[in-house]
Amino acid sequence: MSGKKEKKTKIDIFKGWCKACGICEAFCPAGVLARDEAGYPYVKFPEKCISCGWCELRCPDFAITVYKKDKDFKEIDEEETKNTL
Amino acid sequence: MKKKPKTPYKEFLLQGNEAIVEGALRAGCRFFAGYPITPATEIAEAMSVKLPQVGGTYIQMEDEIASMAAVIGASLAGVKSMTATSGPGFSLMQENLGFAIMAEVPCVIVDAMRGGPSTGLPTSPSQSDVMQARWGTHGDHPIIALCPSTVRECYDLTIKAFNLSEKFRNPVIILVDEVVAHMREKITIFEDEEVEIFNRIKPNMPPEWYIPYVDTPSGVPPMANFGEGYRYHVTGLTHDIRGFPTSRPDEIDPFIRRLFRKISQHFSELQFGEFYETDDADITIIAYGCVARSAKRAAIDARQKGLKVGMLKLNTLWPFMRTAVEKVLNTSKIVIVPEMNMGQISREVKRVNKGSTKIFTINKVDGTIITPQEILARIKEVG
Amino acid sequence: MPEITKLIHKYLRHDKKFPHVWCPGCGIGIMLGALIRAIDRCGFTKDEIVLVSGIGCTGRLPVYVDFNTLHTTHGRALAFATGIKLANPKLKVIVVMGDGDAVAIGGNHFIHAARRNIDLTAIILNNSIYGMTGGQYSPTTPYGMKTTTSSYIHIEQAFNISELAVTAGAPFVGRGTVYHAKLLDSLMEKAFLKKGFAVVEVISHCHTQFGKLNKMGGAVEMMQWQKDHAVTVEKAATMSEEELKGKFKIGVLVDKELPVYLDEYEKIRQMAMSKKEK
Repeated sequence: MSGKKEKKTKIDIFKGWCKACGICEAFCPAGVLARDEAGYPYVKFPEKCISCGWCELRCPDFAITVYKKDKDFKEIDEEETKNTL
Repeated sequence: MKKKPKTPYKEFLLQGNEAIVEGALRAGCRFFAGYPITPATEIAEAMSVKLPQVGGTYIQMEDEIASMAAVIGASLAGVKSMTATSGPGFSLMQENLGFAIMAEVPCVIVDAMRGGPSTGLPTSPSQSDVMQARWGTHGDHPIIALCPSTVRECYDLTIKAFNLSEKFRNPVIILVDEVVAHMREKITIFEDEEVEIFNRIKPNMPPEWYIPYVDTPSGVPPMANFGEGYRYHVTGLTHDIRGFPTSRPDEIDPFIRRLFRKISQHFSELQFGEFYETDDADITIIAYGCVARSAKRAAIDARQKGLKVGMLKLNTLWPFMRTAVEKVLNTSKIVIVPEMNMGQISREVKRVNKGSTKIFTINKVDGTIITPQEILARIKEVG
Repeated sequence: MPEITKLIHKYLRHDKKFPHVWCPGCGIGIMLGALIRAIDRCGFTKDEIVLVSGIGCTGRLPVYVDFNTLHTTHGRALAFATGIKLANPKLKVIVVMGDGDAVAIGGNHFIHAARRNIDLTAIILNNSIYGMTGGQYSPTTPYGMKTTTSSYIHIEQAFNISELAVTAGAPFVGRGTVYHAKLLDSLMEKAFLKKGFAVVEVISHCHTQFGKLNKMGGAVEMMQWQKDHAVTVEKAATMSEEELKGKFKIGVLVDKELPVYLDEYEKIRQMAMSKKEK
């Protein structure tokens, strides 16, 4: 996880569409997100983000976006599926 | 409108059901989805042979519900489509028939009427689905139902059915009783016979401006087919002019009224029938389907006996031929409505009878046809 | 706007009200995301896609996306879709249904569409309940579960939708869950590219009805349940019967070649036309 720091991954949460269901925060593999008192997610530890994009994939309302990925999305696909099951 | 046969003409000995298929193909039908059921199966059989010959598609679905659904799907994809069934199948088709009305999808449904209710009399005729054709599916809705009484009319009315369904974007039902469906008659089809073929009005604007369910002077919105770049939404929910579901009263009311206006506004174009010697008739018989054949015979025989009897044949059952019926109600003191049901059309005649004309019925429900003699006997009895 | 969201927004109908209508945390939104990504990856144009749905929570899906969309009567989506595909084979027809929509009222059409091997994709979102109407049991509600119509005990055995599809003759059947979103992407992509009847069963959850009545927690807990009970086909092959108890397989369950309806019907057309010339 060494080189992650320079490639700052920006996570944007669009509150207009977010329904505070908590899925993104619950299943973030790196514990980057946290929920405010109303239950809405916010980025608590941006530096921890490994830009896997799972939060965006699992958001039922397309309300969270992961700006920069260190790997091209397609590459993540095959490899990730195997080991994160 | 038949011209003298300059070019050669063809003569066919056709069964009613076969003539319906010929008419459908002539009208441009290229898709049939159906399910075997007496007395309509010959239509499916003929379609399975003839449609692939012209590049069309026949499919036998798992039930009548699926058949009606597939017909709507094919029509939405731009192909003129049809199904054929009888009472029990027609009952199963009702929900999707309602969908076709709501989404304004052109299609033709043949109901070859047999004895009912339930399994009833599969191989015997009746005319007892008339009200089902009108109010079979739930909710307020318009419908067009045509009824042939000869094999030639099976051919002609099927062409009309497709034209009307395309023109008004509304399902059209062909109510044919088992007698006409199964009888064979010679019909002459002229090579150069002009047959007006109507296709749905296409949108003449680019996709971004297309409003799929906009109200137009005729009440009929232009129809784009799936896959032509007009990506719009079709639903059975009440919808706004853009086709998206709505529950707003100010959008629902005009929509429902437009559906009705589409048909009522073009009432005059939907009147198919025949007046036979009704101008001076004291007694007029109002009949349709196979009974109209007996009624004509009875009128001719009565005339020979010096009785002023006329006959009004109804080829359009819905919308009800109010103006034609009123005409005979005004001229005749007595009207007889012979039907192979408990009086489903006679109720309509009584409804529009404003004057003092007496209306008598013959209601035969034993699965046999009404004969000219029975009508003549009734004429003597009430005359 | 980053990649995925731009992608999703490219396919949404922007004159529709977002956020969409489904409950917070409902799996349908995740399935919709996977569907859009898979369509994009397959390179279909918007004009050639016809997205058909039945009635129920999934029924409301097509209205949100910019394709030719059709919202049919309950259970009949596959029959409508059959008509569309046969009338215009160039169209890419995708059908989304719920479990009740597909195998309860729609069961007859489901097995026959599979048997006929009509070239279209059926995506079945299986949350084991009728959600839209408030939580009644469906053909996939497990034995013993509480629902608004089985408040004592549910005494019926559930269908296995994927096995039903395989037995009925579907050449491609895949199962995924809304937890395994990337697997959904690849399953849908394979299904869209498959020539013939392709089924993707998407195990999802209804925490609003089913979860609440059976104290299974919210969306998060139910997705955790999916994670804990799903086993990939490859891993399952190494597990014993005992270990597999209570688990379900995910991944491609069957992928074989079978004659496709329209290719076969073309033979009929050729025979019909040659016979007609004689």
